[in-house]
Amino acid sequence: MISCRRFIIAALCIVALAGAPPSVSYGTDLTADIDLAISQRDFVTAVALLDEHLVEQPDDDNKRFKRAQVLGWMGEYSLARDGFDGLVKKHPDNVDYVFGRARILGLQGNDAEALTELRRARALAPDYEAIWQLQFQLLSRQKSADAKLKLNALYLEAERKFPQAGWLIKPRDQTRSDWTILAGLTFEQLSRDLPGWNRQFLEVSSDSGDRVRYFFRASRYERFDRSDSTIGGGADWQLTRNWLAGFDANISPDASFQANNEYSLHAGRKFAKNWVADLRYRRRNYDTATVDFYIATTEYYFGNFRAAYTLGLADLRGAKVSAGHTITLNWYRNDRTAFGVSLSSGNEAEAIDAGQVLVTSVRGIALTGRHALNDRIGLHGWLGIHEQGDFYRRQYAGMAVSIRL
Amino acid sequence: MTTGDPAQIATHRALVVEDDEHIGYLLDFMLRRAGYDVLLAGNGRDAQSVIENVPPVDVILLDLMLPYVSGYQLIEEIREIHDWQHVPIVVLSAKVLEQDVVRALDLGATDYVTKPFRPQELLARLRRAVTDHEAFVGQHGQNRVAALR
Repeated sequence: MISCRRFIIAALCIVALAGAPPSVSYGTDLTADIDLAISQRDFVTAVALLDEHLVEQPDDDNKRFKRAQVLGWMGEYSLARDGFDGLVKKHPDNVDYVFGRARILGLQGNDAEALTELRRARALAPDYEAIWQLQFQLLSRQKSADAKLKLNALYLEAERKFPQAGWLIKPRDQTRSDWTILAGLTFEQLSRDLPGWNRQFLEVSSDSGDRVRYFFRASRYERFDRSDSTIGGGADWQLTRNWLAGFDANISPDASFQANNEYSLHAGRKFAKNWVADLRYRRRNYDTATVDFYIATTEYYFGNFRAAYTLGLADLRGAKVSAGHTITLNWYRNDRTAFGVSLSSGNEAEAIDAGQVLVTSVRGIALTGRHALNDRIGLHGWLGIHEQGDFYRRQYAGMAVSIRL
Repeated sequence: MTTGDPAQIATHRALVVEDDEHIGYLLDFMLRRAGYDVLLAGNGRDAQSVIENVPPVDVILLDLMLPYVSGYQLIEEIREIHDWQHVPIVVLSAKVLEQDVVRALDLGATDYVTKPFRPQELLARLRRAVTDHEAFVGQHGQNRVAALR
């Protein structure tokens, strides 16, 4: 740490010294002198040397590019713009020239044209991170609702593409309310002519773009001739750029088959190269039994996809530990639409009656989808099959509507 | 061949905290031409290291959207550090919403300039911040502040 700090201070001292009036000995190699002048931030000399070079080699567009860039660093926006205009006209597909022109347009306050150029630059080089960064900066300073929507969309896209980017800061969404309501229901059909189940739920969550997200939920679950009501809530904290932690708690005051209460804690971390890991502990307390769950999830993002694997261990006190595995693949078709498929297999501890927890082998498949109709309203749907050992096979389908208040 | 800008006597030191390399070059050039000695920090962590390890500067030019440590957090920290708490902070940010400006000023920023900025206006605001700071130091104990240097 100390040596690192010393290094930083030394580097800063060098920067500070560079801030002093430059006194540099130049040689006879013009190209080397140009590089030296730029490295010394002696921009006035650099431009003079570049002009000298361009008199000798007027077709050297690399040096013409460098000249426009240096003029921009000197605050000579109009001259820099003239330089970039010429370069882009001559080489419309050169991403450095297009990007350089966009940067100068942004410095001049011509954001609309700068953003148009940046879209073009991104089409030429989709992985050029600096282009995304400048686009993010320029959109951040726009006041229109349309720009805020674009900023949010860009943030989500950039977060997937550059998960380690230090410049990427979640924007506060000015066009939306902090609160969203999600209301939905699920119908479940059981094999062996057993009566169907159904569930209704309502969830309210905050989404203010701040570091903390809160959520509260209420649900009613009907199985056979009995029903349980559950209320609960929780919060997630974005502790640092890469660390997230949260908790939630639920109680069922009139539990007949659900846990009387349950709570969970989790912590997740983003890693390099689009990997994410999350560890969760959950405890469910029934009248006569307690089940501890240890759940580990690892996720990998690639292109418009997310792949995840979850290992869940259920420790029923006094019984053996059971394990379940789930693999999931999500496809983010665009900003509005996403689909997912999950396959699960293993053993599951399930409460089947008051105080009775059943451990059975399970397997299942689930399909999920969501589509935003507009900026406020989204539709969510899911269907699947769940086999609970030899006891039953459950087919289910559900849908929900989310409304941003 | 020896060349360079006409020598100017640097009378003030400025800490520039800016993560955009190109804007950093531009601010460095502008401020040097205006006679400042410039310390450049490219992110919030480097700025923290500067604040911990060097004597207070005369003015801080601070971006808000910074990697690792936000400009808002830096303002809060600077206002808590005895030696640095009165150093004027001029925010230079793309954030243009009223609530962002109010938040920065409430946390202790001295002034707020939005991007894109006009270079001469920015320099004028920096001059004013430095002048006001010097007047403040003159009134509230030159000796005490000098002892900190």
